[in-house]
Amino acid sequence: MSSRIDAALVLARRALSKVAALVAAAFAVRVLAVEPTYAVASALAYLILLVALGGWLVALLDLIGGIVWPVLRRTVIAAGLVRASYWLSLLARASWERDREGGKLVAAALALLHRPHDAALATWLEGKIHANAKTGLGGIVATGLLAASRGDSDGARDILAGADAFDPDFAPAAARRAANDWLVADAASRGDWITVIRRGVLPGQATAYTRFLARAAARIRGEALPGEPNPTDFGLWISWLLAPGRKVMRPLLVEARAAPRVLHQRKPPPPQPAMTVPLVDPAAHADDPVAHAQALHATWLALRPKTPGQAGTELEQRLSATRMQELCRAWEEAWPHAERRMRQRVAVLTTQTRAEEALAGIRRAVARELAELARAARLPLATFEVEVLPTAALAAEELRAELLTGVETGSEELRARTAADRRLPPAEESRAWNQFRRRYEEAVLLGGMPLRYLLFPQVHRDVCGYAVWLWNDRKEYGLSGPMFRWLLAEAEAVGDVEAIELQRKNVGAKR
Amino acid sequence: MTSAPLYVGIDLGTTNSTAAVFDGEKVALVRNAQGSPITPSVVRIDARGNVSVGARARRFLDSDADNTRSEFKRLMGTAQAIRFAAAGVERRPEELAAEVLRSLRADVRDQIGVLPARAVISVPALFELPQTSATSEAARLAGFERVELLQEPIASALAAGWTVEDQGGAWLVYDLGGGTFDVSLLETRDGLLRVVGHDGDNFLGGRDFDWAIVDWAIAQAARDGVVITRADPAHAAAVRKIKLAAEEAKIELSRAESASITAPGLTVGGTDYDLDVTLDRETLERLCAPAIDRSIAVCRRLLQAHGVAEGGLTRVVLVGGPSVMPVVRRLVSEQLSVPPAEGLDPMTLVAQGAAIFAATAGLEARPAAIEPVRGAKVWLQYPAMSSDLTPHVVGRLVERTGPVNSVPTEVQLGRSDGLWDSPWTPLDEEGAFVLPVSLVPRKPNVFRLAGKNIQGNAVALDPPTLTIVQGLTISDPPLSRTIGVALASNDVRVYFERGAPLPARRTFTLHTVDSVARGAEKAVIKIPIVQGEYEQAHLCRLVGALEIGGKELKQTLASGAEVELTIELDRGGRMSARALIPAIGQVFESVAHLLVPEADPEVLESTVTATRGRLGELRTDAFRRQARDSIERLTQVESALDDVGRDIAAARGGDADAAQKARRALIEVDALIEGVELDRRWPELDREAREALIWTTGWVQDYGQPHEQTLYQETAKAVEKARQGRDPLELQRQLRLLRRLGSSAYGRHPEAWKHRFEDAAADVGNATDVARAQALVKEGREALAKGDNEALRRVTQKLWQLLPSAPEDRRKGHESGVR
Amino acid sequence: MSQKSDEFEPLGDNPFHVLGLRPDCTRVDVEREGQKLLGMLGLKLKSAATYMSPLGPRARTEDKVRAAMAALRDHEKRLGHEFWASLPPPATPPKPPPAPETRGPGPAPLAEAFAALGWRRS
Ligand SMILES: Nc1ncnc2c1ncn2[C@@H]1O[C@H](COP(=O)(O)OP(=O)(O)O)[C@@H](O)[C@H]1O
Ligand SMILES: [Mg+2]
Repeated sequence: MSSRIDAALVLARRALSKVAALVAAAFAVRVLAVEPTYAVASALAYLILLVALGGWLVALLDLIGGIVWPVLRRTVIAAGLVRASYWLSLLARASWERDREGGKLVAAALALLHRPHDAALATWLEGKIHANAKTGLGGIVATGLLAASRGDSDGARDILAGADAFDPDFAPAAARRAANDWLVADAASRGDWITVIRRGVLPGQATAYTRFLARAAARIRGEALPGEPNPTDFGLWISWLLAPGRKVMRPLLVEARAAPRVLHQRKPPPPQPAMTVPLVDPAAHADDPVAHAQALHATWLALRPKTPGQAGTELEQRLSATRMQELCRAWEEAWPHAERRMRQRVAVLTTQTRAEEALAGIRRAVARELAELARAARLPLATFEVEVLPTAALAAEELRAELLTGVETGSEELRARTAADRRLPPAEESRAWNQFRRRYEEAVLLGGMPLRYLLFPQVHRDVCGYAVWLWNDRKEYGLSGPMFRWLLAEAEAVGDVEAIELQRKNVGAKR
Repeated sequence: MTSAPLYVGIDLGTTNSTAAVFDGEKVALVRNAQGSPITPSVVRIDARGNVSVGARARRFLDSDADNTRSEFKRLMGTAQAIRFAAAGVERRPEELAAEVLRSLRADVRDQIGVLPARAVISVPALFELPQTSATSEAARLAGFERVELLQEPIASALAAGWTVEDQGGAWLVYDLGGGTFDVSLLETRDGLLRVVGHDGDNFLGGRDFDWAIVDWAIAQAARDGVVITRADPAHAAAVRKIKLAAEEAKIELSRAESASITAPGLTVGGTDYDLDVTLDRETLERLCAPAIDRSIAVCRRLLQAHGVAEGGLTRVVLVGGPSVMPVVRRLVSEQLSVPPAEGLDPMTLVAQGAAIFAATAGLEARPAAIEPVRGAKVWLQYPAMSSDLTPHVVGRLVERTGPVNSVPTEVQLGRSDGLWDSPWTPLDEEGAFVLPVSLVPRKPNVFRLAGKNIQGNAVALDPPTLTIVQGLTISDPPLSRTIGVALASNDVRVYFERGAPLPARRTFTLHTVDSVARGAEKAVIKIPIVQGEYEQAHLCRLVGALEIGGKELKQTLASGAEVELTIELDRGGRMSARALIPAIGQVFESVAHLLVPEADPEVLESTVTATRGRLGELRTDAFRRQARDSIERLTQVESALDDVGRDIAAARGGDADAAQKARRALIEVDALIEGVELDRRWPELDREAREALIWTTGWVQDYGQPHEQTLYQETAKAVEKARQGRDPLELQRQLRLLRRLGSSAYGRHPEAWKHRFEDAAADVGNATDVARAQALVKEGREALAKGDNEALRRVTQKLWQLLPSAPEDRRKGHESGVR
Repeated sequence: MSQKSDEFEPLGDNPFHVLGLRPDCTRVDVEREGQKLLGMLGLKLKSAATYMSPLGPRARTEDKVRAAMAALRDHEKRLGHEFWASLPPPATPPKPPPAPETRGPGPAPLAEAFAALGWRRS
């Protein structure tokens, strides 16, 4: 009986919060245009009013509670009042009912982003995050935003992206939205519009801000939005009107409206960026197979991404499987010449090493670099012509070993940590898991089914133990729930009947 | 300008120390107050705290052993304090070494009239980081303003190369000291000297000869009915006296054909006894031969490691006191079929070489005098000593502004003998010039530096002259042992390989394995720095550690955070390290400790016991497998362990040196055993693979689904391939897949869970939580009785989670906190 | 070019390129050039600060020069480096990278993306 009332209440709250959001949006137009001091004053007035009107208002507030968080975001938080945001967010019970403590942390972290960097406040917030015994997405998002406010964008990106993998049943929408806002802003500021389009209209995470950016970008690039048609002029205008920061986003609106509206069809891919001029021209060394192979090799090496981990933009676009084969073939032609030359030099230098030995070492070094290139260019192992080109076979072997050991050590690390009961703070835990998952997914992408089959037994054993530990001993339901789901999907992909059965049960389990 | 340059070299030996000076043309030995070039490395502190060094102290070595100390060089780099009973003081090894250095420094002043501020000090090639840094510290304590450390074999070769005309080919430097033996393979080509490799035995030297003689003398005494026992503490004083006499006789026999060993007034078992026996050269040679053979075996090992064939050596340079003995010279040159370099003094060669090296390093001993500026100041770079006949001189104006007339625009170098001048060379836009000069062979060459201003008028330059000695170029000193960082996986991230030129500096990005909260008192991330040639960190020696502690952190450090760790080594092998954490922009620099770990006899003893246990198991296994190679290696381990046992006994008696020796030997034993285990693991794995194949085939055929059967075919092929390629890692992977296929199929068997439960129940003793595991087993039995398969399965799975498989790699790898 | 870790690259860090020599040089050349470069680096001369490799210009440091000399003195190591130096480095430093025409499709990066939310740019 009472549970039905509860459900009804929740429904009512949801409906109201939609209305509230609209009201708040209109309200925000005004509030944002004014000085922060005014915002503070208005917040205080709001508070005084609250106290004056007495307890029944609290009840009412709870009913239309959805409005409190948006209001807070536009007032106290926007003013950068970190401590005040922290405490006042207690009022936003409706938005944070599953993660009260998290709500306080996110509020404070957001406020921190709204003001010039203050190391003391950051440290204060860090203390609060660590003191938070209960875990939840709020703590994770707050940790990410804190990293952002300290200027560690890479760290922030890593942590906040973990919000996607968090069980939505345990994740307050406000936390997911805050994370998504930051990630979209970060992508837009880096010009990574693909991410903006993908993230901007994610149901449950999108905000007016991300929607406008995604729609404008989709229109300019002539790309389809997930689940939406390419926006009209009017649609763009409305999105812009609802979004914050209209002044700075106006040029984008203008640019978008000037772009032709494309329906259901991608524009043909634009001409590829001009290739970086090769430093050494392989054609100039056609007469010397060794120098030729090296020149070709150097040309590709020079295109490697400058920072590790960064997608190898130009290399990825250009180093196709055919080009890789061409490179391997060039090496293949070089070896006999190299061996002859090596023999002569061995005689002259009177070395102890024999020419074949020296050459074998060099071939391994070449294979390692080829593997590195293939990995940066995301070339699947299956495209290596291992039957005809020994060099390619060696490179494939290197790459395969690298991918396998990468995942295996990651898996072992999770296992060891589980066994030793070494606990990380939730944000770290989420990050560690996501890092591992990315590594596994890369291995599967490049290695295909054979690697997937090979890796799964160990990964299943270790990750399952890890997820069970998170669930049983640490009550990290939000983190471990998706892990079970992930394991189930993987088990189905490799057809491991036992694992499928086990994970079905785990996924079905509720706290 | 002052007179000729002055370069000082010091051989700080275990037994004896020597100093030499070099003026650019010839080397001279520095004599001490007793008129000898050799100062025993002995320090005595009497009851009043007076310190005496050298021969004066050595006289008390046997009569006042508690206040007179020798061989402290062996303890350099350890925290061992050395007590002087009468004065009631303790000194660290480097403080005693400093006393010796101070005395040699004073000898230079007495002979040359200049108290040297800079010098080159030689150290054994195989000295490790803590030992080199202790040597530097000793020099600092002795009042030197700057010293360079030089590896002893290079010094020897340098001295030998300098005096011996012809050069070229592979050289062996054979250095047999009082208690240590070092051998180095060097190569000189085109006037360039390079160390190819080292080897040695830390416990082989003249002392072994002395003991052989003592034993012989005791046997002689036994004929008179006097029984002297070396191990009996009551005879210790007598034995010490005999040993001194034996050493004297040994030295005498290097010149004479026979010598007498006289030790009057020995008290043995309450009676007085005068020992007086005659030792002839033939007997001496017979007594010493085993020790010499050991040293030659080490030489052979070194030559083999570097592929030098029999007779491939052009010269052997014999160094160290015992090398004076004709028998040593003869045996070494015969056995290695190489002529010894003649006309060199084994006792002082190292010091001479060190002095010559001081010249190549431009380490003028006189304190820098401030001279008035006499013209446009120029910074110069040139080799103080070079084998190249046409090296480059690089220069750059310090100031390029000023009155036009005083700023040079062109420069010229002219040799002082007037036979060579460079062309006038315009300065480039940075005010710099690079000029090749021409040297007269084997002479100090003085060049004057002239300048012209824009109008073509002469401008004085400062310095007006520079000197380059034509001789030998020495390659940068190579690192004696590989240095790296121990990782949490017990692997080693190699920073510098053995033989890397010093100084060196390198940075790698590592990742933390744990997070450390800001302010957390106890949480630290340890970055252990190790030295050694093994791939596994626990086999290498810990030489220092950098710690990132929660207390100092400005922010909480995430696990997996990047740490950019830079390790830097200077010419003498002194190390510094810094860790930069980019995410929080903080730098950690203090290396926590740099000491040779102390060797506690108790700890050593328990290690020996543990190792013996492992040895027993391995041996049984090796016999079963008929693995001849492994058995042989295990026999080696056995005898090494016996030696270690003896050293531990000596360590209990207060011989810290023996404790260090035991510790090192144990590390080597560990490596040997590791190798045997590796050999053993493969057949085991291979057998496992075969069994798994047999086991799974049936199940997959009977109960497998079609896709499982195809996958099984492929996996079986891959298993075969891995077995043929002897690839353990790959085999393990395929095995896992194979097992999972087998187990999936097996799971469809109605009785499967029963069997699994029984298996797990049998292993309960190993559970992490035995009590809980036993409760589960009970629960399982009930389910079994009720025939509740579902419950049985749940219980079994829970049991599995309690059964551990935790290798303790992290603890092994010096508790590293990085990967 | 800015490598964080000092990982050795056989093409980019080839000792012959570091010393500005070709594989047929003699041992004396190695010593002479090395000593000259060390002198020039000691005086911080710009002309010695970079060297050309097939992977582009790279910073030359005293450590690299010393390591290169050591590597070429050792014939076992020299053998391998000779192989990698078969390809001569480009003679002239390349033209500066082509005009930033590499702007991909779509709008330019939005520098004010954070400001629009009222956030400090991180
Ligand atoms: N003329 C000699 N003949 C034989 N042995 C000698 C002679 N002179 C010194 N020794 C022995 O040489 C050893 C010391 O050698 P030295 O090279 O000075 O040692 P270290 O290098 O350890 O300081 C002592 O054992 C001493 O007995
Ligand atoms: Mg010596």
